[in-house]
Amino acid sequence: MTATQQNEPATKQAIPSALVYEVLNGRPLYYRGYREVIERKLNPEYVMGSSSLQALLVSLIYGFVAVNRDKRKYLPVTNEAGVHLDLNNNLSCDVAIFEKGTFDITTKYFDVTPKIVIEVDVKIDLTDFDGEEFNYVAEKTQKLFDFGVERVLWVLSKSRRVLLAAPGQDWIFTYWRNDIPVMDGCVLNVKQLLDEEEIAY
Amino acid sequence: MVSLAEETYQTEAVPESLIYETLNGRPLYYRGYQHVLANQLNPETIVGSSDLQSIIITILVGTLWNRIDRKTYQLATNESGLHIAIGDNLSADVAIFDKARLGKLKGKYFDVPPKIVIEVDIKIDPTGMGGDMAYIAEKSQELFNFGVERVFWILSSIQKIIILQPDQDWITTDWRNDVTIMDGCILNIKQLLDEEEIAY
Repeated sequence: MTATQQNEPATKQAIPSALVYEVLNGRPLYYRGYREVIERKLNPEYVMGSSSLQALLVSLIYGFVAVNRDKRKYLPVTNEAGVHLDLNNNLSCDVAIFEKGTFDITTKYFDVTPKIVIEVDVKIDLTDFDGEEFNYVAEKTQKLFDFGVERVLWVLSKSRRVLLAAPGQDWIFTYWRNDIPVMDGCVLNVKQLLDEEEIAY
Repeated sequence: MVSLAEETYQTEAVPESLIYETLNGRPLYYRGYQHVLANQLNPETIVGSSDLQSIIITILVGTLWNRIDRKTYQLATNESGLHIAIGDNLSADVAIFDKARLGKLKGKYFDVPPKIVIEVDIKIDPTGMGGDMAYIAEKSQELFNFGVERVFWILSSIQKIIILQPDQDWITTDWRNDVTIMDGCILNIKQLLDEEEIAY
């Protein structure tokens, strides 16, 4: 907690909105590295992109889900899909799987809840979460459940694990070499996806 | 990326008193150590536990004292030092040892593995480790390599408990749920806090 005190006065008003990654329970959450952008007067583009591993993981997982789904029922979207839950919650999803027929396509954020959300790593600055990823992961996951998401997966590349969470149940952390059920007929194995593409990591 | 500025601190300039433990040869500093360095404070401003952390540990020890078989098991607390190997000295908030393995005490760090370790919150700065979850994974794995059979992490900020066993999936459960620490010893953290009328 003390570690953040010196950073606190980095006047929140001075932070350009381009550096906001999402809004969770009314709090704007900034891209990891946003302070460096402000201090060194860099362009926001300096921190907004994904890491190569993160981008690859999102692509592979999205591709896998797109192929291995019930096409009549489900539609996966990617690219940090904006999900507008309410006035205080605009969340970003790496892969969100919607049920067909539950939403209209507009030029705005989705305003219906996806059925399943798959996140890859943490992109935000964690100052508001006492520096701990898990605090953010827990709060975002709970918020998604509050709005009706039925399953949330977090693929965590540093520990090569996947967190599997469903509302009201214990959460499971498993190695990404293990099979992970996403939905009927769609079982994800992250390591296998990487190996098949001969990606060294 | 956020760590760029922080990496400019020279490791040599960090006093040893700010080291909480050493894991796989890496010194791990108390959370807030950079604040201490930047503002030239005494290490004592950060090395203590938070109020909630120390109360949870106290209640845990008080409860376990009466629930474990003390003829067979030895309870230890107060950041018990575990000397795992050279360059590997870990700290345990609560540890339960098999008395038979413990033998005669030597006035030094424990050099036999506890059967069970219970950690309450994270006291180190996990930035250099790749974050809190990577720290939990690596420290727990090191404890398993040493011979520990079960590790619990009680995380007060999200009121959850992570239960870890070697080569098994980790389970994360709400602290209002019953958790089996060992045979015949089940704890319910929320209930224990409620019984003591602790507001948090």
